[in-house]
Amino acid sequence: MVSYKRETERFHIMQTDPHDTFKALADPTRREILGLLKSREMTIGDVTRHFDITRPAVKKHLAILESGRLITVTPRGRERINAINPEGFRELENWLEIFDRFWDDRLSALKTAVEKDAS
Amino acid sequence: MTSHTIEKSLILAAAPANVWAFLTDPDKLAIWFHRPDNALTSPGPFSMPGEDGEPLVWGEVREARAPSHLSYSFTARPMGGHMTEVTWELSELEAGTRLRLTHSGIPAGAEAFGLLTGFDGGWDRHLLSLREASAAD
Repeated sequence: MVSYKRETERFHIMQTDPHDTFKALADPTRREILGLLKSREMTIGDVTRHFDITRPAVKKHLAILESGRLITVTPRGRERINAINPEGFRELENWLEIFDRFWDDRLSALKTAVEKDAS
Repeated sequence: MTSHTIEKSLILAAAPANVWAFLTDPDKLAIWFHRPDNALTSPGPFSMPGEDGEPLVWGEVREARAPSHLSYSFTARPMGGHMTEVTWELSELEAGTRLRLTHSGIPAGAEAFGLLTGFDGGWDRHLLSLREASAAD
């Protein structure tokens, strides 16, 4: 599996990596979490109470949603408050742009891999 | 349904045979894309599992003519099974390969958003509310 860590860091500065957004939306639990957060902000504990999965598992899902910029995570005292990020959803609406950027990103990775292999 | 096509062109400092390997060989695809369950060198279905082991990307190889032409149908989990078409064309240059990518059948506009959001029961309604909320910002 490709490591997207470096790319993710870059896109956090520039824009959303569409792969991160796809990955965030691909999982039904994460979509359900987004559905919960639509109505109100929640702590990790609040979210965990709605599922039969562990708190660390919920935390991991929330981290993926944050990577996809679909939620924001803000410290408040000792808690971390999870909330919908409308900006991330706005970016999703331009499907074509998502694909365009997706391929730019993948082709850049392909070029690096091919030329490294050929050198 | 309205659809769009994305076309990209790339010059690579490697021979077409080397580039072909990166488009078809599971180990090499894993470096820059995802690892398929079989090589994309002959017609037939393929699948690229996600981290959970379930298919993340899948489709069917239509045509594979090494090292110049590869085409396959293509969908990904968030696309709700909507099939698009991906074609790779490789032509030899003096010092490498010109690679052309064509990705066609991509749904456009509101239909695309409906597709993105409609693959899970009830989820489209959540997103509709979110869109309204974001539009009100």
